[in-house]
Amino acid sequence: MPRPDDEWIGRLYDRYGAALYRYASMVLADPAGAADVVQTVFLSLVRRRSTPEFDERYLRRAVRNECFTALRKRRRDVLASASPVLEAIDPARDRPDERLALERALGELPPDQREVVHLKVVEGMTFQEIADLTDESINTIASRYRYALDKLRAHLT
Amino acid sequence: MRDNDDPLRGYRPAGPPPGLRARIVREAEGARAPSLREWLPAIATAALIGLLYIAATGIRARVYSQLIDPADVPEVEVLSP
Repeated sequence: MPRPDDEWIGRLYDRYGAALYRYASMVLADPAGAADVVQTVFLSLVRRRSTPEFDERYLRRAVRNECFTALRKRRRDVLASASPVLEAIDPARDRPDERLALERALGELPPDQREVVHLKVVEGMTFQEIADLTDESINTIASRYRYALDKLRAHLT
Repeated sequence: MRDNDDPLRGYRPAGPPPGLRARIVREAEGARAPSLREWLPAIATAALIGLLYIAATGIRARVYSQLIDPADVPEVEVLSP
């Protein structure tokens, strides 16, 4: 029978793990690296041995910090990975060639632009919310998003 | 791009691998359990204290055995010239 602490970390993962993993995967463009980042963040919570009062905002910031630390260490934005970065929301409409082209195009973007695309498109956050999370101005975030869309458009046409 | 409103064209980042949750819970258990390495300095200190105590006991016994009980010393009469 698992101890209460195991249930706590498991429940926290069940609630936030998938979203945090997707966020890390998009920033890193590396699914394996994203798994490591999420694991590092969750284990750091365990090692603190403090009351498990972590909201999504706190966890997202922790994952963000860990992602950019990982990016600084590896000095490369994109690593070859066997796992796909993207999946079709509707599996029936999955077109592998289109998906791979989009993955390549996203891989060409700087991590901070991929991050804005993810937070805006996947998470549905406003520019103001993204600016608050990243400690950037709203104009910077809007510019990053616009640049990212322009680059994606250029890569995919 | 076909659709500016959906730059990801109906795709999203793939979800976590199925084993990630179990991996985190397993590692969390290891991170919490006190490892032998954490206890090693305390164990070494206790062992050292025990050895010193045993050595001190032996030395003390040897010293005591060489001391002469004042009751066993014969009285000496000093004669004046």
